[in-house]
Amino acid sequence: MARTEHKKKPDPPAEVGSELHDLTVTYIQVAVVLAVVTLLEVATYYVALARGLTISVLLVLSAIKFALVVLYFMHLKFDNRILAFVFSGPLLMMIAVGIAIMALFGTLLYPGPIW
Amino acid sequence: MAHVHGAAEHYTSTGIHPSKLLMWLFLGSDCFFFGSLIATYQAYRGQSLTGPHPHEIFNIPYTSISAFVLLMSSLTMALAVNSIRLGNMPATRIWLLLTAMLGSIFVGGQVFEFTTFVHKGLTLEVNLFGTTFFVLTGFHGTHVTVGILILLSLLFASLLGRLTPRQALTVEVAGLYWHFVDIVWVVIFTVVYLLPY
Repeated sequence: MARTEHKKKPDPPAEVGSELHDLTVTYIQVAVVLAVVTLLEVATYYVALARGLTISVLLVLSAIKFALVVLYFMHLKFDNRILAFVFSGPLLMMIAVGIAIMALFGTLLYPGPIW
Repeated sequence: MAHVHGAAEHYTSTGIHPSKLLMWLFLGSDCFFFGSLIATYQAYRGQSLTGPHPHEIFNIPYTSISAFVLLMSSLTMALAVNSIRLGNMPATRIWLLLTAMLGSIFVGGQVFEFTTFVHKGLTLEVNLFGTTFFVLTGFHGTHVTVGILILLSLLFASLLGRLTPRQALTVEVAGLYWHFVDIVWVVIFTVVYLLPY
């Protein structure tokens, strides 16, 4: 912490070096895609697909929504790369821990309910 | 709170404002919090010996609408951040209010869902599904409620003239929290409600 330099800035409105653009159109476009992906998710739930295929499709669609919100709404696509590491590091570690927990409990390759 | 009123800002050597960096660090730690709860839900998935079971009580169309409402609140939040960065305070207030309203609709919907489930016999202690479901979604609902309070406090601060375009970063940091709450629900909606049992 002792090596951290503090630079005085004259009231920056947002991030250092950022430019002010009206992103309304971009945000609306992303929201439309998110809405369509959500519709596809719900449709996948009702369509009779093979169990493995249903799970794969739903996880991919969910990942798309997650990525769109993080990259565009949370601005990570345009922000300092350090923030991407700060967030993706714990996220990837947690995914690994989650997989490990499911493996420990024998539900990683979910065999179906016991009822 | 002095810095909120426009005193000189201090940036780290990375060029990232400390409050923004801290929020991202918090969100990283919150990944572990929700990740643990989701992993636990998955570990006990389908292991309940007694009912009610998920397929007996879930109302997918209802929850889909609820998920859509929260997803759209991310849009209004992004527009609030965009507006204050452009110096448009009236628009900022409208988007903040809309975001808080959409969040309230989501939380209200969750309260209704919980009440319905309890009436159908699903409680925190009745089976593994009830325990893991209520803890996971309950903590998420608590996060949304905290987010609504933050948004309303920003709205009132702007009405009192204490939130101006000079504090755009404050709204942006609040927005990061809100979007995170949204993406957590994206995962919960898929894992808990949509994945086949």
